[in-house]
Amino acid sequence: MWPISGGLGHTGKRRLAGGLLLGLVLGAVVAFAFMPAALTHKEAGGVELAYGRAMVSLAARIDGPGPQAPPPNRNLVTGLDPKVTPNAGRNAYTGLCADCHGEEGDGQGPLGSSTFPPATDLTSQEPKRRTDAELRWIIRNGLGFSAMPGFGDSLPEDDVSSLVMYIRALQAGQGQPIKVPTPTAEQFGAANSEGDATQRGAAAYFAQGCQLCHGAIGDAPDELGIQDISQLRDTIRRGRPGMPVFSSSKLSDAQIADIQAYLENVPQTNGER
Amino acid sequence: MLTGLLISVLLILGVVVPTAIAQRHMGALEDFYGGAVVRLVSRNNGATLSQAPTQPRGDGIGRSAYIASCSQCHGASGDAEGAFGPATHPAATDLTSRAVIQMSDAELFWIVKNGLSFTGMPSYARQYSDEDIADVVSYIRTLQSVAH
Repeated sequence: MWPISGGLGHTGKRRLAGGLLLGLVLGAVVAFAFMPAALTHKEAGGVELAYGRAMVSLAARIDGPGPQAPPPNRNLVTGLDPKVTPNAGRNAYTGLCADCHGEEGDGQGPLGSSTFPPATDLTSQEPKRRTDAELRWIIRNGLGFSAMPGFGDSLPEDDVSSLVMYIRALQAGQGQPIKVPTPTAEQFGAANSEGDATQRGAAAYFAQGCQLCHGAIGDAPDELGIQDISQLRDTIRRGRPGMPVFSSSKLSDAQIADIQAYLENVPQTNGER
Repeated sequence: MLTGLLISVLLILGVVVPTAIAQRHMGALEDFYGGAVVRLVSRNNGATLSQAPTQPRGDGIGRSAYIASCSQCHGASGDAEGAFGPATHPAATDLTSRAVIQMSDAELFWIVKNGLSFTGMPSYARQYSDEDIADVVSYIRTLQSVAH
C-alpha cells in the first residue's frame, strides 16, 4: 500500500500519524500566530504571488467548471450581438469591475491598489493565460480572502460570458471603455439614509452602485443613461443584459420607490435633464 | 514522522488555502476568530496612533464620504447590504453590530485609514485626509445610534 519497501510496520504507521498530527497542530499554531500580521501585510513577494496564482487556478479547477458557457455566437468586442443587446459585456464591466480593475483593465481603478491583495492587472500575462472557464469561475464565485466579490447570485450566466469576452477584448487592446462621470462630493452629499424620500433614494442609489454605470443622476452617456423611470422596479428586479439583478434583500420595494423619487426630483445641476 | 510532517504541510498549503479561496460561507467559529483577530490588530495599532483623530466637523463631509466610499459594501445605513458587501468573503461587516459599536474611535479610524489585508477592506490613506476619516468615523457612530 505504502511505497516503502516492505510496507510500514506498526511503529511506522504510528510515527506517520504522529508526524501528520504534529504538522497539522504546528500549522494551526503558526496560522494563529501569523493571522494578526496577515491583516497588516501589504507587499507580496514573488513566491507569495506565484503561490497565490497557482492556488486560484487549483480552486477554480477543484470547484468545477460550473454551468456550460452559452454558445459563442457573439460579438467579440461588445459581448453580445449589438443589434439585440448593445455592449452587455462592457456595461457589466463598467459597473462591476472598473472600480478596482480600471476601465482599461490595467488594475489601476480608483480602489485597485488600495486593497491587499491588490486588483489584478487583467491585461497582464497571467490572466491572459487563464482559460475562459477559470475566469467565469472567478467572476461567479469571487476569491475568498481578497476583495474580489462573487457575482454568481446577481449576474446571469449570459452576462458572465459577455464579461469574459469583454475582458478578452481589453487584453487584445480592443476595449471600448465608456466614460461615466464620477459624482461630485456635493452630489454624494445629497444622500441621507435617514432623510426624506429623495435623500433616502439617493442613499440607496449610491449604495447599490447605480452611479458606477448610470452616473450621479442617471445622466451617463449613451445607452447607460436612465431613459424611462416608469419601469424602474421591473428593470431593477429582472436586470438587463449587462445589468445585475437586485433582490429584495438588497433593495426593498420601498427603497426602489425612494430611488424613483430621487430620479424625479434630482437636483438640477446643469439646467436640463 | 518526517513523512507525516511533510504530508501535513502539503495538506495545509495545497488543500486548506484553495478551499479558503473558494469559500463562500462563514462558519460561526471562523466569524468569531476573525472578529477577535481584527479587534486585536486594530486595538494595538489604534493605540499607537501618533496623532489622535481630530474632532468631527459635523458639516456633512463624513456622510458624503461614507456614501461615496463605504456604502457600496457596508450599505447606506451601515447594515452591510451594499452592492458588493454580501458578495465578498469575508462579507462586509455590519457597522451597526455590537462588535463595531464596542470598538473605540481610534480603532475604527485606524481600520479606515490602513485597511485590512485579506478581507477586501481598502486603505483610504491616499484618498482622504485624517480629518475626513475622523468625520467618517463620527458618521458611523450616527448610523449606529439610529439603528439602536
